[in-house]
Amino acid sequence: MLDKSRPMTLGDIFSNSFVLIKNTILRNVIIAGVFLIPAAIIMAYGFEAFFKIIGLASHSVNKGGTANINSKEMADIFLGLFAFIFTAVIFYLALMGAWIGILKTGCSELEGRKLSVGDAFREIFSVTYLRCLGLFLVSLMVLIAFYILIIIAGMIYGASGIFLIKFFAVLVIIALVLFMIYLMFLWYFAPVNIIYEFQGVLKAFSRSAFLVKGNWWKTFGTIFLISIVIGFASAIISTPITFLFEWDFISQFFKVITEQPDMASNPELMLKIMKSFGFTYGLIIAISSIIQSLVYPLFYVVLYFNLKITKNDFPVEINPDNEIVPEGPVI
Amino acid sequence: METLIDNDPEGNGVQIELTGSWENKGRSITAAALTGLAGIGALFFYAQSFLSVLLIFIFRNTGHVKVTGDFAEKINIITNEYKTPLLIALSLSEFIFMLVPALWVVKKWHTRDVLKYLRIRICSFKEIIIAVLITVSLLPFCYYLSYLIEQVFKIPGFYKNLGPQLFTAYSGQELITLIFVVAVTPAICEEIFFRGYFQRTLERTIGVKSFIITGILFGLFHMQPLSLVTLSILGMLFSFFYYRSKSIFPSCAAHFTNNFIAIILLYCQAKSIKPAILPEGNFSALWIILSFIVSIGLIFLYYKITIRSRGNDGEAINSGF
Repeated sequence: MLDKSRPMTLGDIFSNSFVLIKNTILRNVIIAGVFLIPAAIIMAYGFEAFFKIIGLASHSVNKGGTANINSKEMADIFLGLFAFIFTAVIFYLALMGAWIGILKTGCSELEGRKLSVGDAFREIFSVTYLRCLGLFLVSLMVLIAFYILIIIAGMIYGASGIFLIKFFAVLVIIALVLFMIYLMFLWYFAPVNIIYEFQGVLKAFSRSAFLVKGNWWKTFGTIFLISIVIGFASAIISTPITFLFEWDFISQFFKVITEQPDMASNPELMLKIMKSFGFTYGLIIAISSIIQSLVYPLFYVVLYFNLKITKNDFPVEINPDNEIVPEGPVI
Repeated sequence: METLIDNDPEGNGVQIELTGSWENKGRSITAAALTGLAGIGALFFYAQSFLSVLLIFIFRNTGHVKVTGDFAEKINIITNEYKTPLLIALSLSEFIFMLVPALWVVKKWHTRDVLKYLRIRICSFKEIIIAVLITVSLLPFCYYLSYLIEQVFKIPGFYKNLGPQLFTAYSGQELITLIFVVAVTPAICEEIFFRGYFQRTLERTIGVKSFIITGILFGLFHMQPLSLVTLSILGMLFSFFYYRSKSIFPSCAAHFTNNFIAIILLYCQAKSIKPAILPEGNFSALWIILSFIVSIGLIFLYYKITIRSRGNDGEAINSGF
């Protein structure tokens, strides 16, 4: 169980996270595997369809321009695009499910309780999932709103001939981007508020903001550092996997750059390369997501608990021995 | 304050006082090893990339060299053009972003007895010589393995030559520079980081398994998929020397030998001297099998001569994740 008497240092965060990873790895592999392996295979097929249509489209364009694409080819292109988006959404939904299970397992472990895989699944298939989905949609809407504002500012910059207006448009774009980053870290812990504190969507945002406020720079720095370290660890594992899985594509690419540098003038070769890319690329993304899912959510949980400790947000010390006491038979 | 008891190469118990912050706070020792590896690894990787770009920018030749020809030729021209800044970046980053942080981490997290902790202590000359002989005898087998992998994957020539081209000396002066950058620097910095810090710390909790894990991670760390198998085998071998001898010198000597031979072979190749050990040379089955058998025999001999230090491997105290 976590020592809640003092805020953690960076060393404590790493140490506690690694211990948490070690203590939950088996359960988390099962959770991630059940959700992500089938979704990964489905997504890989989606990627294959997508890159196939890119190859086909480029093939047709190179042969005779866009006018040369007939209605069947156009239908294939849209079907491929749909398959790509649809399977990517399926993978994202599965990833969200896996993360909920892993986050719940991590939170329980830090509270000194061992959550079984079955209980983690029950948590995933509950209202928590819908709330997390709602959270995602709200975040997406906020992001889209920001993008629209940035595009409008960009259009003003492009359309105006007055220097002052151009200058202000640039300032607005910079301010919007900075504010977006600020909000991103302010609401960073909203999902875990839903999972650990059973909060609603809007309350989860405000709870996250409460925890991060006053610790924004520290949170930003720690997350940045952890992301770099995990990114590196993930890269050294995924480099040989990528090489092995993508060998078909890489060998075609080598052939092109050594034998036929004018790839664009050879649509047949381009088609062949694109076809060799999709499925395995989808699998690599999936494998990389699975590896990161086993590590990153647990660092995230530890950071969240640290913020709660810093804000003295554990009013009642939960005693795992007394917390859930099943009632005995009444005689 | 805890004390770690480690055996020196003579089998005498050496006490190391664990006064560092990580030890005092009772944090997980395996987590220290992993945090150190990933943290210093990330620092080294990103800083080296940044330093390379920075030095290329500083040393850039302002438009005197024409980059023409096909892709392979362009790569050759660019590599030759930026050889000096790349080698400086490689060497500097190993010392500044790998060796210094590793020493700092040992002192800050673990103990003030840095040399004792890293096992920077004299061992018998015999152990160093046998470690070097094992490395030399295993090389034909490792080269053959690399050759097989290249054959299986049908690697094009220009890709195979990317690394070697950077590390090929064309003059005596260049040879000395390359020996320092490619043989001496990694033999000091990578050994202190991988064996001295990572393996030593991991050994305290998982014992003998540490040398296998360190070897594999040593292979992965280089991010060269084609050389992963051979680098991991060599990594495990260096880790085995470190684990058995309780001194860093045999693994340093073995690492230096391996890289030194590679530089010499590339130099010979550039001077059109073709030793049979080169991948392009004709591999004789007898030569490969002999290389493997002799290596196994020597490894067994190494195991036997280091058997006197089996009393305490420095893993009894502070066990557990």
